[in-house]
Amino acid sequence: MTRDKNPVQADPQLLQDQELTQKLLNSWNQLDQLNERTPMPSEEDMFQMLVHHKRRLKHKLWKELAWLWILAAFVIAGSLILMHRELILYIGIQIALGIGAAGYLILTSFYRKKEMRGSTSE
Amino acid sequence: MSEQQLIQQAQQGNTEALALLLRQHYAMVRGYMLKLTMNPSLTDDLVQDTMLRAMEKLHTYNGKSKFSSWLITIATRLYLDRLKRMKVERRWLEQEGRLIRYQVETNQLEWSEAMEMLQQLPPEQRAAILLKHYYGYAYPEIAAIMQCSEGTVKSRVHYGTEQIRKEMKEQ
Repeated sequence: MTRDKNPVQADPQLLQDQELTQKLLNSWNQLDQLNERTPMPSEEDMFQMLVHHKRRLKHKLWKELAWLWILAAFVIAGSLILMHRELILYIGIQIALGIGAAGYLILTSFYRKKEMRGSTSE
Repeated sequence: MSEQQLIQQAQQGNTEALALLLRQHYAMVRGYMLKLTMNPSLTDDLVQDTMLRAMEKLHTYNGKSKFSSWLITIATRLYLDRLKRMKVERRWLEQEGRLIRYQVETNQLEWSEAMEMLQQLPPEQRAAILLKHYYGYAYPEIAAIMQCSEGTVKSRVHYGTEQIRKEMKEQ
């Protein structure tokens, strides 16, 4: 195995990289110092914030649940009426809904995979 | 009480334990967010969102990664989501970001050339460089945090550092 580089001589590119990394680290350290000088919320403030948010989430959940039940009641009632009056149309709608749901799932999984791959041109 | 015990109690619904746990990591998350966004008001907003999201998702934390890494993942994704939603307002965000220079200088800290370069980078590149060079995450870990491929992370780090190097040479 031959060595074409003198081990004492440092790679200029590597030195440049180290210098750049050091400059970046110094900059981030300055921002850390700025952060240390910013006051932090107390434990009580954090507790109150979490309690308030929990209460809000619970309220939102009940509201959404109520809307869901109302919507479900309309859909079920509508479906039953349709099934009773127009059985063929009812079956047609069920098939169309099934195809639509499958298409939606396939499309969303495709876009999610595409997003995961990301853009390599950046 | 150890961090592990706090996490367990918080997962069992103890809000006081959760408040203590999150407060212990507050400065770390805030520091990360400040370096990531380079925008003090956006930082405060996103740190609060991170804390609340952590509360909502705590049941999904399985202890495989450090709790701090889990919080960094939440914070990064919230920032990237915010950027997606605020594409139109990006210019406004950039202008508002100039406030940080004022804050740094009024605190008798140095606003370096490198900071200026970091601020001018696209946020996704800045995030990848920060996670790689300051927090020391490996490429696959950064890819998982940023929800993109390893190749994308590598290219973001590469083009970001190249951009900084080029700008510094020119000045």
